Amino acid sequence: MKMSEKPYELSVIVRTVARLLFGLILIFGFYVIVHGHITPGGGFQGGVVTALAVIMLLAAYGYEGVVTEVREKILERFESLGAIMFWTLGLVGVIATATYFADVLYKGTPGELISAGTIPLMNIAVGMKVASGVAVLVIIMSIGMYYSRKYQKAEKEGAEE
Amino acid sequence: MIEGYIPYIFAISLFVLGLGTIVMKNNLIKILIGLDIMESAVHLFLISLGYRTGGTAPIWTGITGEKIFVLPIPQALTLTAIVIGLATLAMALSITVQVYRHYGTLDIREIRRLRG
Amino acid sequence: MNIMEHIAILVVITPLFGAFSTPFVSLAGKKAADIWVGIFSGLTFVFSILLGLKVLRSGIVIYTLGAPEPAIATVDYNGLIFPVRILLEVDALSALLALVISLIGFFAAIYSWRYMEHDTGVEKFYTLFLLLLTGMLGIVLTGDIFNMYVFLEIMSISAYALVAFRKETFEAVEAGIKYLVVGSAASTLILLAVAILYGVYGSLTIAQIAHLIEVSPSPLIWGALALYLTGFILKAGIVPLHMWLIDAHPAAPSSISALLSGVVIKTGAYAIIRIFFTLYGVEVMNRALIGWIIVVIAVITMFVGGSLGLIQQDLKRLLAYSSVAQMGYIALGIGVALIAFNTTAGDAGLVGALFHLLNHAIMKGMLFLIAGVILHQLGTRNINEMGGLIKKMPITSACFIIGGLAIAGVPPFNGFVSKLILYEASAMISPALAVIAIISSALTLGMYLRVIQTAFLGRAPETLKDIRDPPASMLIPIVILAILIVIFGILPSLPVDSIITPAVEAVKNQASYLSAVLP
Repeated sequence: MKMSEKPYELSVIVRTVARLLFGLILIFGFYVIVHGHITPGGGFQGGVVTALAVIMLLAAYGYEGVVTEVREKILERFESLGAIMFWTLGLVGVIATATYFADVLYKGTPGELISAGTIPLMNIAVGMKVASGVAVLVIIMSIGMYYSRKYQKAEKEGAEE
Repeated sequence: MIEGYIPYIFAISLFVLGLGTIVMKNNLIKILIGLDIMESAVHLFLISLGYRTGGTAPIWTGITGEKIFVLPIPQALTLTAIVIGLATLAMALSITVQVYRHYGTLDIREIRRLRG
Repeated sequence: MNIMEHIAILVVITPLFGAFSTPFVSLAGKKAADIWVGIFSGLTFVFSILLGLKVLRSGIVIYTLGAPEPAIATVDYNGLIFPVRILLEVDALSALLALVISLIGFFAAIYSWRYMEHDTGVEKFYTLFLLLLTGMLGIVLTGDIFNMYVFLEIMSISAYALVAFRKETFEAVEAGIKYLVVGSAASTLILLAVAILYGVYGSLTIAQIAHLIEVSPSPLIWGALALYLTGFILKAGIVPLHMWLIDAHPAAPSSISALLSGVVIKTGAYAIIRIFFTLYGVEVMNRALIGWIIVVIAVITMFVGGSLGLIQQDLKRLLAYSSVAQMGYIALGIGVALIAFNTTAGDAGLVGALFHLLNHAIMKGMLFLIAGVILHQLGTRNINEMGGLIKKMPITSACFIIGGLAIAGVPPFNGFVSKLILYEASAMISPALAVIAIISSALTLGMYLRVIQTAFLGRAPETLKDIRDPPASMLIPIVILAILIVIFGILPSLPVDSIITPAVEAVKNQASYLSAVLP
């Protein structure tokens, strides 16, 4: 069988479905993050779901196909930004003359989307950190995939010579 | 009488299984799997501490009028422990990739250049 | 917003903010990141001093996260009063540890400026460095067992990453994976202990559990104690669970080795003290039995560390073995204090253990920084390839000789004083113990005399021509630590009276730790 031009990609069906689902998974992830304080779920769970979108692309397009589209440097910055946001939201309590992490913002009616003060904001911060963190993690770990393919190719060429 | 203890017995046997995997296996990946089994056993143990028969998820919505909730604190603890476990596992796998690049094997009997 | 009111949490969150802002600051270049890390570790040090002063002045400091007032730790539910929130509880022992950690952390940060100049990914190094600091400070300041586990994991994961930081060398990778596997197994044991205590008493606050254990000791808590002890003995690098330390501490970059050997293993010792004396309390346990177990482990630790250290060729590996031996002395003090609690011998044991903990942090921190200097200037860690260094780098060599003699217990340095207190304390329990401790101290002396003889005195090999003392930012932390060693040796009453004795009082006084949280 002739090797295709891009051996790291899966078949066209997988790639198309991955493209179609990418946005949907992102939206579902965001939904889980934003509704973290009133439904099961929250920042971590939603963040992992969001990162799954990137992981799916990685599976369909391979390491070489994804690193050109997803900038890991930017994702790393996002991760730090999420942590700083979480830290700052904790500090709001101190500034409002209570203690660190105190919930001093508008509480609203329990069960509604805009309620529970800083908790949904913290969920968003955690979601940001987890989504970008897990995505970066998997991208970096899949460098191994890229290397092993490179070695295999080099070995094969060496054998042919 | 014994029914109430089944989750604990199960969790403890899982824990011992994980510990045994770490001690007896030679493949690094299998050792990491053992580590994860151990962690999961503790998570299971924590979750079963807070379970109440017939309880629902501890989220107050005010709509359905549930009366019995399971205890939320062990769930929060478990979630935190899961996040920590994820971080540890990610770290472990990343170092394992490096180990493979240096040694070309994952057998811990051969990853022993440090001596003394 | 009054800064003194929030000082306890500021000690923990200052390095945390520094950690996550460093990637942004490092966009402006490495110099900016250097200064940023220096500022944040320095701020942490200042806050630790302020926290210590506050504790000395007004007793135990409570900081409840998320409460309307920092001091409100409990809720009143139909007359049932119990703590619900995560809280930081800082007594003199915690404040002492926080001071030591942030002191060594600050010097290690300054030292890293030039030491890490040839490495790539320095901003990640700094992030992990400050996270390591956060984790350690969190462990010693928290008043909640689950929170302690979380901080323990923050500390451990950053330590794994830092040990494996130079991933191009096989040594770092192998040490990293070993450390990670045994360290995570220990953490899991600790988590299981936390879960058992939570299952039995339905609380996570140390003070509340201690109160409940006093009222109704359940047989399950001894299982939790065994798990806790196994976990923290591993984290403290005490024999028989010390093997990871020997590989991990030399493999890390030297500023991290100084932190790992100087303070990270001390958090294990801190946790053991906290669990024995505060969480369980000496009244409920069979303290003679547990105390003798600790003493036997301590004696074995001293001998294993001392004798295996004698034959090492690698300078950093030798220092790691010496750390094991010195952890044995600290454990000896804890064991003696358990056997003879609230007598002269027990008090002396605690004073000796805590003073030796402080001294060893300073000495071993300095010695690892010097090993880093030698590695940086000479490019080798093998003792046999060195020689005559005292002529080439006089200040560094003088500091190493001071540190080596101090750690071996030679007067007039600080190690002599703390070891003398430990000898006296153990002699009051059994004279044989003191003899064993003195013999194993002789092993340490032999170990360091060999290094001083081969590496610093003698004739310099031809290969070591143009080497000199390191740049100022590496030399100043070493010199300051050496000065501290001499001052603490000549005037031991200065640290003992001002910070060690209050810490010992805090350890002994379980009731005040409890009553600070529970009304």
